[in-house]
Amino acid sequence: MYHLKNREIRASEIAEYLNRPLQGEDVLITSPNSICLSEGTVRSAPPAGGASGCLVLADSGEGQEGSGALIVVERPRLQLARVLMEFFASPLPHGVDPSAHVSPRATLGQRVHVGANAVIGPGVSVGDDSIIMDNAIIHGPATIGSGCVIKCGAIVGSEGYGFVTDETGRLIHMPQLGAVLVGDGAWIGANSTVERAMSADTVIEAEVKVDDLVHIGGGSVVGKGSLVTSGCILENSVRLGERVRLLPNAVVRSSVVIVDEAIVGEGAVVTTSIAAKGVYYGVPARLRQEKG
Amino acid sequence: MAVPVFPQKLSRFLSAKLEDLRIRYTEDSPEYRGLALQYLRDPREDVATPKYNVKHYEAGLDESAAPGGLPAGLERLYKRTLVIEPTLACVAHCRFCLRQNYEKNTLTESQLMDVARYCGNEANRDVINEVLITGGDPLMIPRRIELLLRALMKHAENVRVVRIATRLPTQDPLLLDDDALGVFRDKPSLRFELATQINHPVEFFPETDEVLNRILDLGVRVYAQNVLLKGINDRIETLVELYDGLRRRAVEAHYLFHAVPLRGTHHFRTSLERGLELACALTNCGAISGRAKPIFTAMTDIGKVTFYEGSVAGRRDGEVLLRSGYSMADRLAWNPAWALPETASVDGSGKLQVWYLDGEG
Repeated sequence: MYHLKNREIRASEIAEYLNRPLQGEDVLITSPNSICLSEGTVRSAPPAGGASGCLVLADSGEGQEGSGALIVVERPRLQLARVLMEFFASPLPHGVDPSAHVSPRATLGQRVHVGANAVIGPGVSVGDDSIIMDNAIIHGPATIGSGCVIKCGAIVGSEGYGFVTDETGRLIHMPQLGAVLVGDGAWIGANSTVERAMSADTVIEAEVKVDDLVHIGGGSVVGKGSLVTSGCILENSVRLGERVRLLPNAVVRSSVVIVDEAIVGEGAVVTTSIAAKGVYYGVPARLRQEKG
Repeated sequence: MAVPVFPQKLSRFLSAKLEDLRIRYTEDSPEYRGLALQYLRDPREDVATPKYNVKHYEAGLDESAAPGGLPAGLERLYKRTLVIEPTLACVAHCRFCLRQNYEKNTLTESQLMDVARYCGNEANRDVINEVLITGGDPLMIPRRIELLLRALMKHAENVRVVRIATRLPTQDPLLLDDDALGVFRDKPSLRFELATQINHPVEFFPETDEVLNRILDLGVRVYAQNVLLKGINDRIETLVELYDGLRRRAVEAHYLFHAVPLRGTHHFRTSLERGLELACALTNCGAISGRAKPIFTAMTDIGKVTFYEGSVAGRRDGEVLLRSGYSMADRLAWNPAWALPETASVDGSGKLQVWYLDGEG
């Protein structure tokens, strides 16, 4: 997580950083806005004022006089991320904001950032280099790995939605005593919730990226490297395999199992388990395209 | 064969300082020349000289000597220290740059991880305890340096001392913001030393002072490895002012190098005799404290040779024979790829000696 840093840098210096020749003019880059991408068929628009003052990172092409600077690189988007991180992005500082509350029974690793008004409750462990942003709340028992990001307003480890009807018809809350385990490098988006279950652990495996406004029910397991985009709902005890992609507003019903690398499209409702990888759309979700 | 030109490059900070000095003192003033000659291209660079080097020494490592291959960006001349060059880019080009003829390269993240693992491998674990991170200017890419340092802490616990060489305090101090200086923070297992170079008192800019203070406040030891440069600092008064100024800023005096005999830099090179005369005057004249005295040293084909009685063993046709304490056996043990340069030989006591190109005037 970064803040914008004021920086001026020559296109030739970026070329040196990327070990690639500079074509065209050695323009002065004063903001990320002045760096455009050209990758496959995707081209980002040049900044206001035209391309002459901008640097294009492209996967092919030749620079021309008067058209700014061009660096041809493999995987321009990845290289852009590296350039921005190196020259224009300032990471959040390590340490705990004075307004945050960290329980004496919580443990924080090294170089952790805890933002304003964040709450880290008892029984929580946060790994090295993790970032807990403003207003995020983590209730234990919960283990957050190293290099994780818990964005603003996210709630990790809140008690799950488990009720049982008593003899009089009244709903009794079932104690939710499981833990939440978040693997290394995982990301929990702003205002997302990750609940605890009655006894099973809720597991967000390493490198999972959960977008903003996502709900993950107690006892669910989100497999390594999966992407869960904005607005998705995982009811209780869902099991996503590795590298699954849930597109915006997908809903996965309780106890459904989804195989590795499946893709669930926007707004789809998955009511039964998915055993074959492919692209699934609709209500209820059906296979639209098989995936090789 | 055409010799590639080392292009002129100045940071905007240096350009502004030069303009300021030009207006305040004129172009003929020692103040302006003290900075300008270090960075502005000079036609004398193109004058062919019969002898010169392209590199200050050859200390590349032998790929076959490392099981599984050897990471890029390493040099090794000394037993316990490994030289790492994460980037060969700088914000400004010193006209006497030691690595001006190196191919520009910046190590990728995965290459830096390989470097860290190499530092801590079985062969190096009990030998290497220090790395010198140089270039280029490594602090131009603080994020990559942070990654390298973290990787060293993880894979090479034997590395306890990290030296980082940078001229950013004088070339573009504003780049050394809190973010960049983060490389020195939160690494309790590493001792940091910062090597910089300030060749003329005019380079004590207010911004330089400010950033040096911030670096010192982080517990980093700062030292200066300066170069004796004809027309810039080859007067005793200039050197006294320079080393007094360094001491006032808590910058330790380390080497004062005789300018290296590289292609296109002959006009910066005093004779060794003149260098010794100045070094002697500086250290024996009583004008500066002993705490501020540098070590006068030549960078030769076999490594650094510091001058003591008997260091100069002979002279011939513009060259000086320098005795060293290095032994061939040690060299090969540390770097099996190392070959005795044509200019060097082994003397009767098994130590290396080397013919070193003298300067003029």
